[in-house]
Amino acid sequence: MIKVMNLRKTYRGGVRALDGISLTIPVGLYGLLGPNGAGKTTFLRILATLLAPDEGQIEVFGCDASRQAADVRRMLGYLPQEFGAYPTLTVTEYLDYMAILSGIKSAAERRSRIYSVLGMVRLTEKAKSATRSLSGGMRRRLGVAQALLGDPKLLIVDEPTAGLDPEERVNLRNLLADLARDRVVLLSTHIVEDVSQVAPVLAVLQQGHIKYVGSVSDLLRRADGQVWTATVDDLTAAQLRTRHALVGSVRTVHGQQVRMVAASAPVPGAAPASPTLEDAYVALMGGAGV
Amino acid sequence: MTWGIARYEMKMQLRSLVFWLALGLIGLFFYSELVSEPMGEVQAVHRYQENPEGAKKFWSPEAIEQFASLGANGFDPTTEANRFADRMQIVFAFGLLFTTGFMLERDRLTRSRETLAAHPVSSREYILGKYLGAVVPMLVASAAAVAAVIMVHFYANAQLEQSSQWLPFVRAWGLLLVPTVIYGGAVVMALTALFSRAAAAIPVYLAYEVVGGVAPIAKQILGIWMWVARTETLRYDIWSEGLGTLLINRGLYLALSVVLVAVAMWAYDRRLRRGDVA
Repeated sequence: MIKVMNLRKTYRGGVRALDGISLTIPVGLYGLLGPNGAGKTTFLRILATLLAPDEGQIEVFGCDASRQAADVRRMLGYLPQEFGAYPTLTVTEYLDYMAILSGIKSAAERRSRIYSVLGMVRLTEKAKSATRSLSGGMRRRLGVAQALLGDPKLLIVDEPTAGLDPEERVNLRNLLADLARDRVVLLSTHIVEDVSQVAPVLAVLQQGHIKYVGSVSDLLRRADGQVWTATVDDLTAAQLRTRHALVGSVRTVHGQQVRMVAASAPVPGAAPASPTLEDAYVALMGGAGV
Repeated sequence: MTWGIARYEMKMQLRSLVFWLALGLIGLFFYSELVSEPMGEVQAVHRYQENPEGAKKFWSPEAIEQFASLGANGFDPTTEANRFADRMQIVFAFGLLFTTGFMLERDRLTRSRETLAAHPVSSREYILGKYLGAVVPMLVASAAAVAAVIMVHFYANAQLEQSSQWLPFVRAWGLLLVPTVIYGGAVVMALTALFSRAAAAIPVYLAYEVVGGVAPIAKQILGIWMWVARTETLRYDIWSEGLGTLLINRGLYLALSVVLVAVAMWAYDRRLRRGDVA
């Protein structure tokens, strides 16, 4: 279990990235949502002991992250938002190097772990390829593989599905859900669908504050009665766009079929719809970013 | 863990174009030094008198032929060995800038810093591994260079039915070139750890080497007299008073290397603590 208490971080220049974040993250898959600039990456870097907070405390499975950073890193698997691998090494060489850095001393154990994680991320056939020859999606999977090498109790993945094709995204989401059975998997993303498919619990960050913490079902319940669909002409659609958060728009032979978030029916004839997590997220953020 | 890091850093070094370009440049200097003038000043006079044109055009067939018949007037092994080590110190000092200078820069260019920093490896182990990964291939290259010179020396003197010795070469390599490579690598490692970009370390290193390090001739020409210039024991050259002074000199360089690698570890650790991992 991870306990985060009153975390604050302000960068030089006065940019306040985190402003009093407190969270308890249980074992399982935990989603972290928020628009770009919400403070997600700063939060993850502090959690990964890469950045010191100005205030606050983090406890990772009983270890104080600021005083026992090395112990926390031994329990950590981390995939940063910008992941890069050494281009002149092959996939297995790169993973072997990362396994050495993870503290796995036995060459036989490293080899066994490498092929195990390569299997998990479906990269076994690329084991002998140079990392520079991998596609963007494969490189992302390699990033997940290196994070899994030390069999971490805490796995932090920052935007893991960026650049992946739909099939790869589904595979990766399923893998993360699988891994979350006996560890904390913290999935940070701005893609709501990634969280909606696998995370039962989530936190939403906005401008360094926690906007929501709770279950996905509670967040969906909050949005009940706030999601509407209607078929309107182009002019009405444009007017709606200025007043409400439009989450979908499909052109049909009868006009534009729009899906929007609003407290009450935005146009006569608008029909209420069941909210998706994306609708609920947009409703929570007050239409920000739409 | 340190040796594991060093092993992969060496592997990357050997697959790096920069490394082979640096070695190529060293080889070019080495070849031009061998061919453009013979070993030893007294012999050089004879040699130039015999064939001044061929001596200058070191890529020409005549030069290669001359290269093969080096030592037409006989070489003194000690003079040759010292001269070899003296010149090689200078070219290796500059070669180290490109090889060692790239070790930490590689992490930034490949966007690996954040991933690496999240591993439970200490700055001490990581920097030492990187340093060894940079310096060991250069030491091997310097050993290959001295082996080549010994072969040329033996071949040339055999043509004249004169005796040859390998010990002065090995001694010059061990006492002069090896400490220079160890020290030069440590200087570059410390500078690149202190600056967040290797490019910022280049002018500082070049200024140090030209003014205070490998080129006392530059000091003579420019008339620069800094404290390092006045101190016999703090320069790379071979103009020491005797073996005792030389050993003190080299001992100081090795001790300074330890200090500089420690500085690199401290600077890298400070960088991590500041959260400078992007």
